This record gives sequence, structure tokens and C-alpha cells, in this order.
Amino acid sequence: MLPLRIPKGRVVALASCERYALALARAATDGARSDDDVSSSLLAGRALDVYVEHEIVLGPIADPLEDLLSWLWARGELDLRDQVIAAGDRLDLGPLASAARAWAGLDPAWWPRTQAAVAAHLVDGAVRCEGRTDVELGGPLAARPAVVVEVKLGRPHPGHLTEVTHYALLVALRDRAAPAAVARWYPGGALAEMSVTLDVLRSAARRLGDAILDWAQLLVGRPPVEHPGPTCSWCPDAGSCPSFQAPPDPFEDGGA
Amino acid sequence: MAEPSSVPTSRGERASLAARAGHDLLARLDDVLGDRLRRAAKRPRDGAGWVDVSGHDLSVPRADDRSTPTDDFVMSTATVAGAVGRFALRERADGEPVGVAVARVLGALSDADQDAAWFADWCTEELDRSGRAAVAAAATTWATGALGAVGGRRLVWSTRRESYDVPGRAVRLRTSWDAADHAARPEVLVVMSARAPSDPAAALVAGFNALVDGMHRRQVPARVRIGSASTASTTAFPITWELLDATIDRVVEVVRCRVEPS
Repeated sequence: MLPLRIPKGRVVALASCERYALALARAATDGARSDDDVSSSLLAGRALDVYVEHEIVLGPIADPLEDLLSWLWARGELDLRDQVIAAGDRLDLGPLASAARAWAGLDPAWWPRTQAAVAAHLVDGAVRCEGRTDVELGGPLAARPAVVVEVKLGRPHPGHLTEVTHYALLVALRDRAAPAAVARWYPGGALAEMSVTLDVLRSAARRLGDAILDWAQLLVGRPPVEHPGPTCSWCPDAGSCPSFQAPPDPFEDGGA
Repeated sequence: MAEPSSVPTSRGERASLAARAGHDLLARLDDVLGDRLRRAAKRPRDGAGWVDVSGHDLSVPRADDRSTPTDDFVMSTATVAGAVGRFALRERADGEPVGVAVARVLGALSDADQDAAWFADWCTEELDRSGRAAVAAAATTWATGALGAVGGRRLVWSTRRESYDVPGRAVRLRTSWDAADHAARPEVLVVMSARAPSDPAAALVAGFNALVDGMHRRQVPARVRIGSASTASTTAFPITWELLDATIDRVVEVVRCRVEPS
């Protein structure tokens, strides 16, 4: 029997809308999103991750496009590299590379590492909750407080908070010690930091437990509960969902 | 009749296990292959005409389903991060941050033992500074995860790939474990894996590494630990005859499928 997989994105999606979570999983399985559909924002998000890693490991970006292409080539992410080339100037990479300068000068004694694997295998491996943190600092090996930072593009969103508290839980389970703090970093903004308290971990554990149960029920046919909201904008089922809620008109204040 | 499972404790018992495993491997290959894959000459440089078996081959669902054929190997951060990471852990000073050790070994590849730093040409000749930074990032994460999995213990990090050519046969067993407790006669081998500890294939990976080590040293290790960076833990597989028996069966099945493709 295949394990029940609960990656971070599924926990976040289920907390938003069950139909959205199912639709995302179906789209991933069907390969419904073609290369052409990869939006500029997704490419920009990946570019920002790379620039932060580059800044931590080596230092400043010299040429935003060429350095990104070299990085992706070394990683073997050739399809993504082609999409970056195809997107051309639409990506506006310069400001992202400049924003990543905020990561300059990290003390190596904090043992910075990026894209670290973290997982909780529950019920003898029948349930697997896996993810990768954007940046980790400190921790047991470094003999410093552990801090997890998620790099986020765009405006702060409640889902981002769900993500970092979920990682707080997974890192606590992995390291047998809770991180001192989790944070979200937005380019050009201050670090949105949160201490990891027992309540934070309890809340994340409750959310993960709910996600596991809900996902198991959905997979055996329970109809999804629809929660219209911000995720409707990028839900694959937007065209057919009766609960679809259009995003607010940015001009509804009568300004134009 | 199945023999009762027991965990050999003495070196003599483990030497006996290695001898029995070597004998059984030959006998079972004889049964399946007959006169096929008899070794007539030295192995050619490109390995043509030989069957190579890796730990990965044992863990795919069907023996004839080679999801990663050996000639499809491509250099990338995913395929070299472990090698760079092990190299850095071997060279790392006490208490030194892993990222510093990785940067140091990547900065001195021209002086490195090319057997250990087989990735050196790719890093220095095909990658620019950003490509090398991607390697450094991946290797730092790999090495930190590996060190976390073994609880920061002092181990001998391996930079060699191990292979064993089955006597009289054009069959090579290839593997590379990540660390051992001693260099010469290890009691414990550590193999890092992305598999969940509960994955049944993890036992075969452990058995395969014990088999290759046993053929080399004429004594199997006491345990193989499968390490998981994502859970910062290792799972111990004591090396018993039952585990070696199942591993040899699987090796022979893989070889048979290679010479009798469906």
C-alpha cells in the first residue's frame, strides 16, 4: 500500500479549501500545467530562492540572468532554465537580486544551509509529511538556537504563516528540539519573525492531524468542503466550482 | 528448512557469513547463468559485455525495470552533492561549520586526490562561479543533513566508490557507502538515503552494502545503518544470514533480467 503523502503545500491548501487541495493534486497528477502555464510569479519565486542561496554561499549576484541560468544548469533544472530564457525581460530579475543582498554577511558560525529536507513519518511510515525549508540557521550541530526562514515573494498571506508553523513542527520532530523561531522574509521587507512556543507547535500539530484525516477521507470519496476565498484566484477548478468567489475589484473604491 | 535468525556477534562468525555469502552468490549465479557471462578477459574500460549491479538496481520494483540505466548518469548538484559533502566531512576540522569545509575543498580541487574528487573536472571546467555556488549549497545541505543523521558522531567519511567483480563472471557489484566507524575493518557502515526508514527497500540497500564489503574484507560488518537527513536519524540493520540471503536472491534476479530481457 502506498503511503499517504502530506507535503507542506497540501497542509496549507487543505487549511484554505478542500476542493482547492484536491484540484491541485489532480492537476499535478494529470500534468495539467504545461510548461507554458508556468507563471512569471512562479519563475520569479524560484529566482529569488536562488539569489538568496547564492548570497549565502558565495556573495552578490554579478549578473541576475546569467547567474540564475548557471545555477539552474548546475542543478539540472533544464526545463525551468528554458522557461526563464523564454520569459526574458518579463521577469525583471534585477530588483530580486538586489533584494537578496539583505542576506549578505551571514556569520558561517550559524551553519547556514538551504533547501534542507525535513520529514515526519507517522504510523510506521504509512503517513509521510515531507518538505524542504528555504533557509536554516543554528541548531544542534551549530550549538546555537535553531531558526527557520521561509523566503516569500509577494505580499504577506495567512498561508505563509501556516507554512512556517508547519515547518516549526517538522523541524522540532526532526531535531528532537523545537527551533527557537521561524520567520518569513519578503524582499524589501523586514523579517517577520515568530517565537516557537508550545502553543505554536500544538496548533501546527492540530492542523497537521486535521489535514491527514481530511485528506484520507477525501481520497476515499468524501465530497470536499468548499471555502471560497483568496485561493479561488488560482484554483484549477475555478471554472466549474459553484462556490467560486471572484477576487475583489481593485478599483471598487471608486478611484477609477 | 529455514535456519533460525541470529545476529553474528564475533568477527569469526561474520567471516563465516562472508564466506557463505560468497559461495552462495557464485552457486546461484551458476544456476541461473550457466555458461553465459563467463569472464574471458579483463574488463574493458567501458564495461561492455559486463553486467553491473548497484544498490539502486535492487530497490526498483521489478528487477528488469532499470529506471536509471548506468549510462544515463548526468553530472548535476543532485549527483555530486553527496560526494562533495563526504569529501568535506572527511577534511573538516573539529567544530568547523560544514559550509566552511565545503568551500575549502571546492576551492582546492586541483590538489585533490582525483579518485575521491571525481567531480573536480566538472566543477572546475564546466561550471562558472554561480554553478559552483549551486554545488556548494547542495553539498553543504547534504553534509549537514548527514552529520545530523549520525548525531554528529566522529566517523570515517568515505570518498571511494566500492566495487566487487564476481570471480569468473563478467558481473560487477558497485556501491558506495557514506561512512564507517573504522577505516580498515568497520563494524558499522552508514548509507544515507532519501527513503523512509520503513521502506522495505532500505533493508536490501543495507544487505547489498554488507555483501560488497564482506566480499572485499572477507568479513561482513555487524550492522549497516540507513541514514535519513530528513528525520535526522539512522535505522540499524543487523547483518544476518537472512538479510544476505534475500540480497543475493535479488542480485541474481537483477543479473538474470539483464541477460534475459523481457
